[in-house]
Amino acid sequence: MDKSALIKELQKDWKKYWKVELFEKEGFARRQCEKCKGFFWTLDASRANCGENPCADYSFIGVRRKDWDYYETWKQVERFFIKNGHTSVPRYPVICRWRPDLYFNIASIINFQRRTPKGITFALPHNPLIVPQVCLRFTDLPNIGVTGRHHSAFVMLGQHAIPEGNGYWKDEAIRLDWEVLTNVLGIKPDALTFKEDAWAGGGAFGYSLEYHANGLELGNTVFTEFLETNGVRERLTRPVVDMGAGFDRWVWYLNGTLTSYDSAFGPVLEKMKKGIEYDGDLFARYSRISGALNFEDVLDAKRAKSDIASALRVSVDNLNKGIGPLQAVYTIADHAKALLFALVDGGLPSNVGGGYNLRVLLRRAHGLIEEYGLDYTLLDVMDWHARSLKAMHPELVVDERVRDIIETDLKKFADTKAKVRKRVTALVASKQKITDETLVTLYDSEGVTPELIEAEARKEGIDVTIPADFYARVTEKHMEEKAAGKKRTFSTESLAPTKQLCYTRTLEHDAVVADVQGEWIVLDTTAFYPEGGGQMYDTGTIGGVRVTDVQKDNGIVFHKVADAKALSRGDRVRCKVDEPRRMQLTQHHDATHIINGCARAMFGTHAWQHGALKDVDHARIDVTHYKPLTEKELGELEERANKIVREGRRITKSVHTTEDAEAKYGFGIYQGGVPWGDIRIVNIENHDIEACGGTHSDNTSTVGKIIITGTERVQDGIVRVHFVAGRAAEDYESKCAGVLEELGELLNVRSAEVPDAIEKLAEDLKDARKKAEQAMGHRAKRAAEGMTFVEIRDVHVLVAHVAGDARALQKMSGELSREDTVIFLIGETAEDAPVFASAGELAARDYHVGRILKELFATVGGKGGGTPVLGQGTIKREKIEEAVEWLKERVK
Amino acid sequence: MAKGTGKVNAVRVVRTLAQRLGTDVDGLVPTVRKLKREKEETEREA
Repeated sequence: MDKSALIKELQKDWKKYWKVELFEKEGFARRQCEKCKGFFWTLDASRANCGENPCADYSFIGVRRKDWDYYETWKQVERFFIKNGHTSVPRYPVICRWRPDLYFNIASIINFQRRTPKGITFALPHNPLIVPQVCLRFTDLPNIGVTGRHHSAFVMLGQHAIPEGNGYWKDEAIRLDWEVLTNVLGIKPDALTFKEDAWAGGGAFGYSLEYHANGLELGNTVFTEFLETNGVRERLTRPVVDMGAGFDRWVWYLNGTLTSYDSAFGPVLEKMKKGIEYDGDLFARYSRISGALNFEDVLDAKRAKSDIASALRVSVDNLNKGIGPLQAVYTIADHAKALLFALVDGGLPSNVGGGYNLRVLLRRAHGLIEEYGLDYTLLDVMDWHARSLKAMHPELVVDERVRDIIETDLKKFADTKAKVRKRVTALVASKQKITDETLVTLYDSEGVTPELIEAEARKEGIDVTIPADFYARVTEKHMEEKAAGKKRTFSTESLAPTKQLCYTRTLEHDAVVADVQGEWIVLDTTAFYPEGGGQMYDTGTIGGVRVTDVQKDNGIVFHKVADAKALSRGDRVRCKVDEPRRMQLTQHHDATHIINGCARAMFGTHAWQHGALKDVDHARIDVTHYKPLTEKELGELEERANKIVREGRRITKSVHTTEDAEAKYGFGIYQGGVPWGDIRIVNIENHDIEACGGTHSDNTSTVGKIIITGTERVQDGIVRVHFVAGRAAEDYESKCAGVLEELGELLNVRSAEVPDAIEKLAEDLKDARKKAEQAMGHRAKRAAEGMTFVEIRDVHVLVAHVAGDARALQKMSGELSREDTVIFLIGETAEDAPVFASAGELAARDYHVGRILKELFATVGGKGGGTPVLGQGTIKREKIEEAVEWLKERVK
Repeated sequence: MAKGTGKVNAVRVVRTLAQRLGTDVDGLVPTVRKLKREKEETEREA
């Protein structure tokens, strides 16, 4: 929805939408800003601008209005709203488990929005309420630390109400906002302006009043009144007051510090600023104009910086030296705070989804600590934040888990950097231009920060410009959910939803064939479980015909049968579900929940089910975790899971509304995803509670036994645990005993000695490879001794056909190669003829061996290529002589 | 079956070996067979 078009449309009837009682009572006038042309309301008869920066300057800086710190400011504001009938709700997690389309909580209203098939709905647990919601946003990264006002983690003070019961609508909302701003914060009435604005998101939208004082935006009260679905606009049955105020800005306004970071991070910054050198006067002058900065709009950050430098009458170098260290400290402080909230709430840095954004923060902050040689670590800063915010957020603790996550990821970063240095050096050496795309690709695929590339390139005398919106570009890609995989769709029109019996004990029943679509049958009633939630479908028979697949679409269950012609619409049929298969799938599903609960208990809040498969002969669960599981951890996980099985805990199932389920069980229920509509809860007594549509038994003892068969890292930040349960576990045990016996026979040892024998085998193989390598080296040396080079214009050239494979050629080339040599060797194996080429540093000026090989392959056939100094490939054996002759001619 | 390698231990031993060799229970025997063959060939080559 185009916001400016919406404002224009609503302004045709501005009295209806924006004129509230307060304006009339206090005598506000409606004016048009002489700069941005937006309409605003003010008590100041002489005011010509809307009060929003950049139309108005930051005139609050340098004026300390209250002697309140961050926490005290919140307590004062909270007291006011509670006195006025609001319930103060604790913050919701920053990891947005209840919205499948969002990784992070980006606004206070998100807490109360739920997606339904009909669109977004709002459900407030109290009416009216306030919430100090910590939000994470990553699109402003280039501005953080630079503009003085942008944060990746900030508190949005949410004030929400529905106009029913004790709730209210716009007149009361604006009256309350006016009172909190003037009476509690003490802002002079004529310093405040209310600007006419609008907001849209997720289909719901409304008009709003955005308020400003002394150039600073303090909040926006949105009256979300409409919903647009497929171009059709309707009024929401329950409109909602959605006031979101940047609480950090309120604290900033009251303290009048040079940046919002100084007021929000106060005690943390005091520690961080010790030991850095910066020009305080220059920064004071800079901060007054930095409010106009926004690198989303100013794409060329270097030019923007140059403009600022000239406005401040200093050189760009001096500006960087004078304020750079301070901006780095602000950035680190911001990123550390965001990471702290994210990790405590269960987030993980990784290269997928929202984890990617967290990794950006981690690497950027750590990179700046290294660049400026600061004598503290990222973990130190996170710990200082946790201590400083203790009164408001006692849940923030930098414990062993958080430390391990950060340290593990920093180690990955160090490994990546070493690898990347080589890559950058090669890029620079090949004289390839380092484009914006190269920067994004290197960051995306290998996690290399553009700052690192810039620094490496600078050493080589190459200027690399980092686009100001670099981090916005790379993080935006990872903010939204991936498109769901394409699912089979059936024709469901005119069919009534199938009555499902799969949650009852019924496995055999009568039904009527409601429809036949190709190989697929629809029944009026079915006990067959359709594939879903990672659980495979049931099989069995319908009217004696074998069922080979079962799927569900739009409430209708479709059964694929071996012979659809045997069934017709209207037939009354006997249906039988394959009981052992159902039993096995159920055991695997119970075991999945058991293991998931154990993983969370062992690893912490970040361990979250990412996916699962429950098949007949095996099952697996993917869990978010930051490092591979050790053998010891696997053993412990298995033991814990089997303890739950042995204890015979009750498994209960119940259906709830979304609000009821969340209130009762929390967001942990969304381990397997967020269902739409009512929620079926599967509760393993005092262990695991999840929303789940699968089949489950009534007691964990029915699982029998769980065996973890292995683990693997499926992607960064996600470990897969393979397991079997019930009958499949018994089969697996027998199989293992058999395999061990077979290995014993193969290695000629007793079963108990198999591990040692395999270890010895691996050692022996390693030794044999070493000896073979040495032998090859000797052979290569002997062969090389007999070869003679031809001197062409000070370069020594060798073209030879020799015995050996690609490794032997490489070895030989290594023996012969010098600064002034160009070597082309063609080997011979049973299948083909490998080609290897190398050029020394001096020779490479005249010969690009990679290109020469390309020409060779184009002429005689074959494939391969290379760089100026190294090339390889293969040709057919029968082309060896032709290739040797061609190369001899080519190098002349 | 050798002493000390009851069913439960067989499961653990197989899991550890399979993890170490990057395979699963079904791939274990073929993998070890391949290693043995490779060792013999490499020794001949040396």
